[in-house]
Amino acid sequence: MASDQSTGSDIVSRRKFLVASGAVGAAGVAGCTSQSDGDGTDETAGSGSTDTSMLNAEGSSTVYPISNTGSAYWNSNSPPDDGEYWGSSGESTVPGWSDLGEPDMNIADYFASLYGFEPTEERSNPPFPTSIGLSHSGTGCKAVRDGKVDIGNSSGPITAELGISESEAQEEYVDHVVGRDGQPVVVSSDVYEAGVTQLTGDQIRQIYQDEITNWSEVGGPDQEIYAVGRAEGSGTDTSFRLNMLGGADAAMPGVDTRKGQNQQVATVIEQNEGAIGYMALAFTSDAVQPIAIDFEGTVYEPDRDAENTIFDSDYPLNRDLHMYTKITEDTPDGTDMREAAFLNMFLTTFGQKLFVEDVNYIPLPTSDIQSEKDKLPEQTA
Amino acid sequence: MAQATRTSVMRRQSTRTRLLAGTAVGLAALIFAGSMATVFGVVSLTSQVAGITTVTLLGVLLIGLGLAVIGFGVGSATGYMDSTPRESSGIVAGVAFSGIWFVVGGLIGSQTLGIGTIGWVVSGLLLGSGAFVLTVLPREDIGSTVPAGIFAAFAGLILLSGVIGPAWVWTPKGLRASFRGELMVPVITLFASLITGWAAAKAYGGFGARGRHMGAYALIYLNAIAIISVLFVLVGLTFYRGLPRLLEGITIGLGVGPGTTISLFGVSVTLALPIQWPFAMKGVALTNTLNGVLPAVVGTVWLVVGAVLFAVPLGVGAAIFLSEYAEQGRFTRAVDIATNGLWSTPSIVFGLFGYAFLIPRFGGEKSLISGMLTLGFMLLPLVLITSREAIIAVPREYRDASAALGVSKWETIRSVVLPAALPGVVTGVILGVGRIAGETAPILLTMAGGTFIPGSQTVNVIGGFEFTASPPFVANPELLDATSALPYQLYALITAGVGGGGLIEGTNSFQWATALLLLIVVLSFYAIGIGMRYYFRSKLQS
Amino acid sequence: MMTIPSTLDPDSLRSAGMQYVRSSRRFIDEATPSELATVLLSSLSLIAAFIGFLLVSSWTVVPFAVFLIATGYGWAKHQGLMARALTLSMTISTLVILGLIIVFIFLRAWPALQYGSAEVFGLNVPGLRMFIQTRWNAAADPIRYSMLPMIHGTVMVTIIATLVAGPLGVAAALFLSEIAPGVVRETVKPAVEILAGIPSIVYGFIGFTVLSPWASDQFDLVGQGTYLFVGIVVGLMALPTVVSVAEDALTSIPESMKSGSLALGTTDWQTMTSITLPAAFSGVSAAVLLGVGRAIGETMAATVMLRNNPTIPDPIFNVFYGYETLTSLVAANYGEATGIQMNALFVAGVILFITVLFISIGSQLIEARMEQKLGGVE
Repeated sequence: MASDQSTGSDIVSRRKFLVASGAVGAAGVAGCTSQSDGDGTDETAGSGSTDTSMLNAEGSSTVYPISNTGSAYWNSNSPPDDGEYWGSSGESTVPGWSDLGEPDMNIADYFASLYGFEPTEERSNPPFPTSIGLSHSGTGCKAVRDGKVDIGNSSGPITAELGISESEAQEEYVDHVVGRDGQPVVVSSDVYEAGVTQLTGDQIRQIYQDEITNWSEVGGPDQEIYAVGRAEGSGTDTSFRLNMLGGADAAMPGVDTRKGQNQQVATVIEQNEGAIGYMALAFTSDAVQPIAIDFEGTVYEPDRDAENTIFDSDYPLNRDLHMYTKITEDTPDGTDMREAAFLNMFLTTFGQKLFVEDVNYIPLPTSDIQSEKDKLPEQTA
Repeated sequence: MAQATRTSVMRRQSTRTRLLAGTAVGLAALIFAGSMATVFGVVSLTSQVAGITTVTLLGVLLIGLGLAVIGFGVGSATGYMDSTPRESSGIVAGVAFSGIWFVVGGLIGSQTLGIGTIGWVVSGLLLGSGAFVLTVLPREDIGSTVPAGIFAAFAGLILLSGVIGPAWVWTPKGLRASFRGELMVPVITLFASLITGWAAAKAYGGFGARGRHMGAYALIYLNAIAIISVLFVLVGLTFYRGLPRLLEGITIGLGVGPGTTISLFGVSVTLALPIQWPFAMKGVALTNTLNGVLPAVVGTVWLVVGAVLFAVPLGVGAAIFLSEYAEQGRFTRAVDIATNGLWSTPSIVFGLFGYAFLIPRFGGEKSLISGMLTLGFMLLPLVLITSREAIIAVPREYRDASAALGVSKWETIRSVVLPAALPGVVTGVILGVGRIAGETAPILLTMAGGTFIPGSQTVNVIGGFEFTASPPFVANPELLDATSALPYQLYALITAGVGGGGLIEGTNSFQWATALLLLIVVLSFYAIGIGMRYYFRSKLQS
Repeated sequence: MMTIPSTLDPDSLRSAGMQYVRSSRRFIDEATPSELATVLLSSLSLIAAFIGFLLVSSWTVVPFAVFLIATGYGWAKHQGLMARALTLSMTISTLVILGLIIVFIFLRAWPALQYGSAEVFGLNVPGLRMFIQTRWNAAADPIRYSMLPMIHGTVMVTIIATLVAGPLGVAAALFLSEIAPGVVRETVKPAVEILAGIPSIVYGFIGFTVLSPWASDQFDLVGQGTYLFVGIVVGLMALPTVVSVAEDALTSIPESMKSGSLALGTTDWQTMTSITLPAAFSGVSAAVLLGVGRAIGETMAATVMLRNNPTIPDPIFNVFYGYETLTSLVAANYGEATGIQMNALFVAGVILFITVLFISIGSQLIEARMEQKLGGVE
């Protein structure tokens, strides 16, 4: 009987121990997750009627570098004496600082206060956080249509992505253009160095429609062409089909591999020989070189100093980069205050330089910036 | 006494021939290792070893080995070597050798002689069937050694004469792939060393049953060593590539790490972890000097917690019912089939189910709770099967003794059977957790979101609970958010490739570090589970 | 001789039904009203909560709360009965979950099957067109969803993986159970079991980063992605599983059988091939079938290493060009697929589910037959 009792008390104490350790563990986890690396706590409750829930954007991998860089700057909420990301310090000043009037506020605080948000004055704790998802244009457009995200990033027009008419698009969505992309056609370095630095539009079409299958047919080495495409539903793919192949649903039988994002296309072209692909300017590099394209006599070069460049607006593959917001009952202008604050950041000299030009896209000319700003609601501050 | 045979009672194998055979086996092993080293680039084919190129050396060695093996066969047949061969080498050896010679014949036909498709098939069949006849019909000592030896000598000759060398390329029509010398030379030597090694091992054992035993053992040892080394190399590679980035910036000291403030009865105590590990404690943000995968780590933790909370009570409860209450009949058999069905379902099908069933019922988009429940569904059969085994393993005497004392059935289960089965159940749970912690496919469709998440956006489940005025009265928006987990983080990094908006330098080492962290987490669970299983098994047996 | 299995024989079903009715009647008679009420309330509220959950109702929390209260009360007052009822419902939940999986996957796959129907002798067979033509194109006209390229991919990968994992795995299991000296066995067996846990995404990552570029370079391939190397990686993944299970089966053969054979003067190898392996055949074949099932269901390594472009390579047995398997189709396209394309992904899921179910049932049947034949080995 003595052993029974001791086993009994053993079991009880074991149970108590388990419960206690479980409680301590839970407290630890709770503490851990709420005070992770001192980056600050989650969003605070909004003051008054301003909604400070997280701003979600989703969609195109082309727009992603712009969007994500902006989001990273926003979430950092750097102080004005930082100099590197915002404001001016003894050593450096961010571009466009004087155009903004040198405000004495943190970056997110400043842009949000223009639309009525209270500044938090805390680094890494903006008035509302932002999060950018990476998929592609079709997903982004559908997500903004279904109300799952606030901003849908798209590199193709929403009419093509969702299959809706112009009028419907005008009634339901607001199209904020934040930059332009001269959609380049890139080749792997071995092909480029073998001399294939220029192709005609027709040759490219024939490559993608399986009529040309070897680089030797276009002046390159004797190597089978490895044509890389984008997944069906991506804005880049849609734009390419529209502009190169004649229609948004043109067939592309010559494609060997389809990748979901521009980043993957860049990786594939870099790692393989004899590859050709279409992507976005932000992802070109020394290993992934854009070629010049001859469209009906005019040669568009990838060089900014040339006569006709792929950065021009009349380059046939030039396209707007869109951030769509939805017109709802609450937001008859289509943009609520958070979206307006965030989008406004891109439409400044500062934004255009750091988020668009520095990632190798084409910034908007001043007149276009003004018309985009007109689409945003009135600033309240 | 015209046909007097002398059968010796003890089999004497002259030590000289055994030594020779042993040396041949050793030589074959050396060539095998050498060609493996060439495949992995440790040794180059064109490098010089004492004045001769590797290719020449390999060729010479192969010829020598081939001749030696033929010598063993002939020596045994002429009675010079003591052996007890069987009548025939057997069909398996015949098929293997004829296959190799078919390929040789086909290659000779198509490449050297340049005759068309019919031609090389015919020449292949000729050589193949010839090899088959040569292997199966004569006595075992000739049949196992001569085809192998001829192949090795032939291969060595080809290498020596330069017909196939480091610069050789063969592009068969229509395949859009070419075979290069740098890979084919080691592959040929690999095959040659394998079959001559096998034949030499048979010779070492004096052919017959003993010889086949030796030959089989040689191959099996080789296979085991190869498998284990490959697995260790994989883990080692991940460690080698990922460890520097994983441990970057790690500081250990008092109060360096993130702090927790525990307030009890008005007394606040701030405890800071003594370790600051940027990779696992920080997210991706502009202001970070070192970026990390904290949101993914926390996501994995919550996934595991949620799945365990869901699956363990269900699984243990079902196991209790099936082993204690239910009669073995139709019902239990049906549940058995269902459990097996669940257990063998591919993980992507669970993901599809979560997408179709759970997501519409939890807000229509990807959410943490859908991921938790999907992984719970995956964990359930594992827990059920192991708990059932553990409960059944509890000896009958325990239950009988308890019943004899007048204890009710449920009381018995609760206080006798369950505690006794607890080690087995816990082991099963830990192994199950190890499995689901590493699964990507189910969470890809139900939960995964975000690629480069800042640490401030880590999911905070405990703090997210709130009461609402309308049904369902209790809500937790955190559970309804899409978030990341370690396996998904690795997948997203692979697909994001060179992207990242420039926020992460050295994406490649970041990927390896994430892979290493995932590997460590999952293998720790497995190691703990397997260790526990062995511990309890040994306790049971002692 | 084909007879109705005893489980489904109508007479025995009827008698089982009568027995069930009798035992429940006895239960109702013997139980006190309070017990009855509690159990009834808790079961009914659980069913109501489940139905509410199925119907996506936000009022589900009410019956669920009732269930919690009733169960709590029953636990305090009539613990034994409550425990029995609770564990019974948990057992039923296993059946329910499997049923839900089957129902929902089929439901979601149905529109694609309808879209891909073909006429055979005037009968409209849903889904037939997905298996008789090979075009998959979700954007350009004519939009077609064919499963054949994916089935071809899965078959190629599975064959190569089985060729790797089957013989090598069984040989390694033989090594561990029969040949290895004690110390080696004690260290290697746990190591293999632990290494069975390496996540598939890690294999996929290593394959993608190290193996695919090397292979593309070495064989002068156009682009990266081969069935051969995906098959090798998947086989490597299935290998530790096959080794563990086969080794368990081999060690369960009683020592007496092996000793008896050795006493007759055979070598160890002869004992292994003529006694141990045949006796453990059911376990070893179950191990190989397990490996095959794992190879078929492997998702992430295939998704990351293949070309994600549903095509049948030319020529059909070309292992150097790998495009899409059933699993990688789902994982690669789930993000952008909507409408019929999404339903087509569910069709792939259905094919996977049915295939693996058959394999699992097949291995159970083999085990049952072997037990019958050999009279059961302990």
